[in-house]
Amino acid sequence: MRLNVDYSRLQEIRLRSGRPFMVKISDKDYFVEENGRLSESPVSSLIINEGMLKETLEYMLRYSRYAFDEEIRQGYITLSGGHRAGICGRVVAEKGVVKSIKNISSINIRIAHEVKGCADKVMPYVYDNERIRSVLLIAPPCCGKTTLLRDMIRQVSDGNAYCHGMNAAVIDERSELAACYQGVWQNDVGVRTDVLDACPKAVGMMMAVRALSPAVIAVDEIGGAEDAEALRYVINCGCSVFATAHGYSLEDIKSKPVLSELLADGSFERFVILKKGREHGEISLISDRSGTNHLYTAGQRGEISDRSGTNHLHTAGQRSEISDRSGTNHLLQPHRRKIGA
Amino acid sequence: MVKITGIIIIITAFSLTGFAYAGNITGRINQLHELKRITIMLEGELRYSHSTMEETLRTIAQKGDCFSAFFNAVALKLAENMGESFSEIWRDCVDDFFKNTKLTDEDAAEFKMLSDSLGYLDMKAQCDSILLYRERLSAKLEELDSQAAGKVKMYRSLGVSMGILTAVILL
Repeated sequence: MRLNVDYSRLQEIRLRSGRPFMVKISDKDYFVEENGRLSESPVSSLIINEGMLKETLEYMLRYSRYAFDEEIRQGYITLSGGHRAGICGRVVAEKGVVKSIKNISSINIRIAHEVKGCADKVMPYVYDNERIRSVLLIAPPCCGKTTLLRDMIRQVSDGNAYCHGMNAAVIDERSELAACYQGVWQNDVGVRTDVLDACPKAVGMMMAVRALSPAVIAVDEIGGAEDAEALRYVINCGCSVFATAHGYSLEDIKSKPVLSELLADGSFERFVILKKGREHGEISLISDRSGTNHLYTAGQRGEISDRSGTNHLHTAGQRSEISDRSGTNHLLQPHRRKIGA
Repeated sequence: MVKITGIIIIITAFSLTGFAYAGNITGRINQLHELKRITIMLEGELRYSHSTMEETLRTIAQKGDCFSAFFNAVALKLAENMGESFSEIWRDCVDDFFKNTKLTDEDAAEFKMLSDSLGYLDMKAQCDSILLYRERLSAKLEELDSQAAGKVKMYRSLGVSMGILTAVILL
């Protein structure tokens, strides 16, 4: 059976034992019929059985369950292309530690999308002359954090209208950013990017800063104490970090123990808050280190104002530079020539 | 002259048959040693790189030995993922490729059994089953090695002797 869908808009594939086969396309649920056609009604949809789930799992595990032990323990498997399959079933635990998941009851496949150019709005706020600022992307699940992070690192690596290309390192713990398959990247993360695939974030950040001399390191979904410690070390070494975290707002992040410490000590110079929208990585707000000075707010027609809110540094359509308080630090130079590839 | 030529041909043919039988014994032993070496590589590759079975078998195939074609074929079928189980793929490939080796049906059957426990459960189970197969292989090789010298000598002598005997009878 082949699904009759536009794969560029496909977001999720849901397989639940004894339930209809469902897909999510552009934030809307559809039921899949036996002939592969989509329907809004579950009446004639294909019902998933235990055998189908088992076969799907075996296909995803590529005859090598042992190789996915650690991922299964965390409840997901990363597939070729960077797609992620979340698995549910009976958890086998020993002394409170998850050993495995058996009797799989549902599988949720989240389709990864590579959207080149989705970071265009963020890039002007990333550079401080030729230095890169550390940026934290904040968003709830399925809002395009990883997609945005991937494009940011690609633009830094390849160079863009604001700066020439710089060395970048990606710590791809879940193989979602570069989506390495047998050592070959499936996604474009830039020509000057080195990828530590399937490497734990904290260890990877240390390794990268010592061995790869990157200008920026990208990590997805930080949250652990060891991540924070490694992140501080990296920043103290003069390297910048692009990171993502689950959250709805800065206030939400402040309520999380480890992330709140990172906010308090000023590790990040820019916060980008994403919201669910029609596009991947739709930006709701960009703020500076303080979190109170909003540099960009969605719906303000591209206006960027300073702390007072009355002094507009940039207005959509205004073809001029944007600078900070000093007037020498240019945040945006729309017509600066692209230097290097 | 014709008689002498006939005698030489008969003796040579019987001797070559004897040497061929002896060669099969040494060839089988060499190939079993090769299989033992491969199991060590397989275990090391799984333990060290945690690669999928397809990647692991491809790596082993690249090392270049008489079983390269077999491991390449298994890896290719695993990549195709046509719904067969790992054991079915492995067994089919053993049937296809082992007929061109000096290994016996018994050796092939034991090698097929290795596939029953590969590809699923945890890493320890993979390594334990490889270890078990290697221990069986070691025991068999020990037995074959101890008998090989005598058997090789016997087949060679028997070949030459039978040739001479046949020549004498025919004269």
